[in-house]
Amino acid sequence: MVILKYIDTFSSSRGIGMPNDPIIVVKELTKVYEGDIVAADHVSFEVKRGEIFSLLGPNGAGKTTTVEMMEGLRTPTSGDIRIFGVDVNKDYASIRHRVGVLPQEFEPFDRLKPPETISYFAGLFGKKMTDEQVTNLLKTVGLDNRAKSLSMKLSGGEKRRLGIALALVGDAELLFLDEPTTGLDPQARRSLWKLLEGLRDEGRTILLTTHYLEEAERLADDVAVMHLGKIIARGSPEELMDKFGGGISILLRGCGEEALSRTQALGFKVEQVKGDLKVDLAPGDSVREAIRRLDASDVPFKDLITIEPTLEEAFLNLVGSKMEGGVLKQ
Amino acid sequence: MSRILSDLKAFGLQYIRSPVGAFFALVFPLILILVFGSVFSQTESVEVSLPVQDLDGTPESIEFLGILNQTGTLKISMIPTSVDLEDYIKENSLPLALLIPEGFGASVSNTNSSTGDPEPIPVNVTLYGDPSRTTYNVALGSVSAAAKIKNYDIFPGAYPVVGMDTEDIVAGGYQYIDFFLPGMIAFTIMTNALFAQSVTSAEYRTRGYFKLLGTTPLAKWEWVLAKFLWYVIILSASIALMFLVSIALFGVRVAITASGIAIILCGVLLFVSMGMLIGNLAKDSESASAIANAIGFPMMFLSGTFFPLEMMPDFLQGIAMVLPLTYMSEGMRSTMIYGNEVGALINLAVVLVLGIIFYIAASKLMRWKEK
Repeated sequence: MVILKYIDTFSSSRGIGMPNDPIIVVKELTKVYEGDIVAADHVSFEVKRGEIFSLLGPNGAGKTTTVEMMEGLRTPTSGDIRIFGVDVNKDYASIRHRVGVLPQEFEPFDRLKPPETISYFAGLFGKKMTDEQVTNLLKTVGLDNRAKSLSMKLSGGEKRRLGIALALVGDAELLFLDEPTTGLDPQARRSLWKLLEGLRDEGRTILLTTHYLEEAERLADDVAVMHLGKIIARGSPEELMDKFGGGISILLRGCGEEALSRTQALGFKVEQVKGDLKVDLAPGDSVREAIRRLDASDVPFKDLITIEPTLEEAFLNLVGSKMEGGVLKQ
Repeated sequence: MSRILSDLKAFGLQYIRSPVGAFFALVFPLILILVFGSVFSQTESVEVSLPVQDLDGTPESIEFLGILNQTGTLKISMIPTSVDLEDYIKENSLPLALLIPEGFGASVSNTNSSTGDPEPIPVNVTLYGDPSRTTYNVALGSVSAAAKIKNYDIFPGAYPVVGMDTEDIVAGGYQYIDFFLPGMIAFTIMTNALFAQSVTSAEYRTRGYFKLLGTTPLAKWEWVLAKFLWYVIILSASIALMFLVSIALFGVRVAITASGIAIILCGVLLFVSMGMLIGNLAKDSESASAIANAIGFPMMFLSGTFFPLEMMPDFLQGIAMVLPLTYMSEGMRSTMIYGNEVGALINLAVVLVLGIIFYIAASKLMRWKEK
């Protein structure tokens, strides 16, 4: 019994090595297209089991090329990709059923209904799904009420949900989602984020590419900022904001005229924002300490708000320009 | 196998739900059969080619050939005297042929040995042909006119010397619809496989379906095979329907044969592959459709689907010889109408070889994975 249980545990984890080992290891991955266009330039990173990893960058940064090499759809010029310990270039077929893919700009087959599309893909993976299993999967992605519509009638958000359902057909442990929310309205985007968080909470690992900073900030446990084919920064959103976003600011509201000079006298870096004062802390400064000092001083204010640095600021500092809709603004 | 079946089922559902696909596969051929079956008239004056075997070879028979030529409606060509005419007709699927028997010259120039007066002995030439075809009547009229002229030359006002026998070269009386149906089958296979598949392939590429399928265990050849199987299924249904309607309304008598089925399968392979090739070369589905039309429409009208090749002017017949559909139509007709299995197999071989060439080209060019 004990032995059986051991085997059961082992086989259910399905991985090689310990659960904390990275599920994806990418080393020095390079892709050069015809005409010497370098889409990926010595890209290296690791993705841990059970996390949402985000490749963040503007359009043309090389995100899709990188992901498609990991999906076995493109052959790297050089470098090494290991997923579940398997060399993707040599034996992608052996791990294919453990990986689910949502391609960029995914569109479902117009004239198939969502349950038919799911059964079709299950068949391609050699699985026979019962009607109940199909309905459950549709429920997971929130499409159970659209089972009778042809896919062409679905909204943009619903189409992506169907795409995610297809990625889940093989009960994949690892999901590659290439810009899953691009082109969706804010409401559809937010509800898709909830779905992705739910999938992570079930223990799945998700690698998603995005050019939405708020998406990476909200979803990702780990972010790699990609620019011109290179990874220029790595870390959790918090780490990136701490490192590149500047320090935390404290906004003093409803303070009088004399507040500026008094705050400056305390040694803070201060600027006037409309009627309020914005106190910028240096990275690493203790917020608690700063608040205590401001509170104890005779600086008059009605209210105090702390402002966290955003990923947007971090990105601006890293790349040197803002990004809107995936396009860099000069 | 289960992957192929899954793909086949999903593709079939989409095909049937696309109004255009279902229309061209199932309704359009029937419309054409109804229109051509009931409307096609037998009135046209064109030059009909008439191969002649002259077993006589005397100045008399050559003079008779000259008269035939002067009718202006016949284009005379010669069949070698060394072959058996009936075999030759069958092997070459000839719709028409004329036999001038040995002794023709001796008969018409016979003189009475005692009086020295001309005393011709009646002799018949034989017209081989398919009475169901329009060209047959043209040939019949022209040959009997030539015989009358010849008789007048020999014996003005006297009894006819040169007569005419006729031989049907097909079993049973076939009508235009019998000629039309085998061509119509070839035509339907071409239009459906070529037009639908070129657009499908272009769409799969531009909409990223190939990429999506590339992430599944489905192999490229399995996808191609599933498409081939689907067109075999839908076109079999279409052909069955064509037969039903043709039998019910026009009493069609031709039947499908084993080599006919082989030609159908090779034709599906050929035109599905050609469609895939176009779909992979074209920029998008609109241009794929335009290219398929540009290739398909001339084939529809120049490959002998609606009227016999031999009715067309020489240069059009030359074009027809490079069109793959010609070989399908000719092969289908050889086996279904003339029972000419040798001719059918030659055409089958052409379609098969072209099918394999196009299949290889299409699979080479089809991008499942990106570079």
